[in-house]
Amino acid sequence: MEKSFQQQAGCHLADEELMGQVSDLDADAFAIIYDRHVGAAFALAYRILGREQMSEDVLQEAFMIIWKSANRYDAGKGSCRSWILTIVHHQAVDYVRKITRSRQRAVTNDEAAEQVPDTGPGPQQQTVDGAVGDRLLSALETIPDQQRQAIEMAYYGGFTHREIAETLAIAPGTVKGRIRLGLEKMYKEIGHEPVI
Amino acid sequence: MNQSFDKEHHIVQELLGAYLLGAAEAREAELCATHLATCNTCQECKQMLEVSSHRLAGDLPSRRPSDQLKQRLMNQVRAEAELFEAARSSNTTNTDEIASSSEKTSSSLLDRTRETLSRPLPLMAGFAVVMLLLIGGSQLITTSKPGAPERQAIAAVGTGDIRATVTFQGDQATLTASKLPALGPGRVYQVWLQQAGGVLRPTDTLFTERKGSATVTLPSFGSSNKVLITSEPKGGSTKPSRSPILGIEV
Repeated sequence: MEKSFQQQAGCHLADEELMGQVSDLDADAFAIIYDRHVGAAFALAYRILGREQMSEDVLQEAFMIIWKSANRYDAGKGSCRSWILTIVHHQAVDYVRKITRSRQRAVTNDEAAEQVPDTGPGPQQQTVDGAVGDRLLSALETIPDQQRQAIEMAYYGGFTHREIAETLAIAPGTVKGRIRLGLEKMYKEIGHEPVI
Repeated sequence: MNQSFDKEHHIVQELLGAYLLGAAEAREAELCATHLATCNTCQECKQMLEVSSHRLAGDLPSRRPSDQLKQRLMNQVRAEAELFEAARSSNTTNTDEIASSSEKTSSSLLDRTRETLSRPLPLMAGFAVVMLLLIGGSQLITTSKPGAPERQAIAAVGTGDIRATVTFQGDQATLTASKLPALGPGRVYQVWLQQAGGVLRPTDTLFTERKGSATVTLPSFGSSNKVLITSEPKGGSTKPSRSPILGIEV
């Protein structure tokens, strides 16, 4: 997509300055922010949801939230990208939980169960199945499998810690401990240099 | 530290990792948020663990969505930006122009809006023109009973199926609305007053809907000529965070 003159002029501005313009409802500044961060945002949504169209729907919702609440971004509390990805993560996990609840409702209703097409494992099940075997992520590779599994199920699967405990048949306290220890170990291993 | 704070502190320390990854239950998340506001130790832990949790998002290889997504998004964004830009500029409206404009059958609402705004408009916010085109017309109705103070009402149509009436009796104005969209958690409807020149003034009048209906006493209008309603976070906003769902010229 060709960039407008205003977008070209704004390309040299830092995220924080652009977000100030976005909060003044500057659509060109928003377009630059979108272009800079959509790759990471879509990757995250897709990692959670596993389906392109679903991920795009969530992304559209997330970016509209970013557009409408740009005045709430506080550069002192973290980078623009981390703020954006937090919103995307929240929307994607909400979506996963809605899908899971509606599938559970459909299964308990005999008539609906006959009509629900079998679309294969949902996003949450994909995360459970793939959690131990998936070795794509460099930061997660630094921690033990059990901690990595708990973190992946929580962050990418949208599970609460109680749901993780039920799924893995372990105590909720164990799950919380694994998540905490995993994040601490990651922090030590990655040398305090955040990617975003 | 007292015992209950210690207990809460211990619970939050256990939960912190799950909380940061969005894996805490709603009540637990609320407890963590409240406790973090007052505990420096937990704040420091949170900042450390956040470095890791942010890495989970940022470590993934980049992936591009379709170009159509950007197009859809920018169409929505530009439409809203134009709406608010019109609210900021000082334009005038002409009743005849509004009437004839609203009868036009051009292909898109946005094209009609742009067309009307490109002509010189008489005094009264161009935003009012935009709002009437996008939101629908408003109509003045006068009723009176013998001996009783005159009662005037303005009926209006909002976005979607929203219907509203502002009833004036004496010094009091009351808004009655139906088919309001359900508010999401942590949100309220807020009343704004628009003054000459298009300046939007927030008011303290916040309300919620019940099964889509609401009745609320409006604040004094002063020199305002338009009432607008938006959905805002609880507590209200100083600037509209969303497009108005209802606009009534008074």
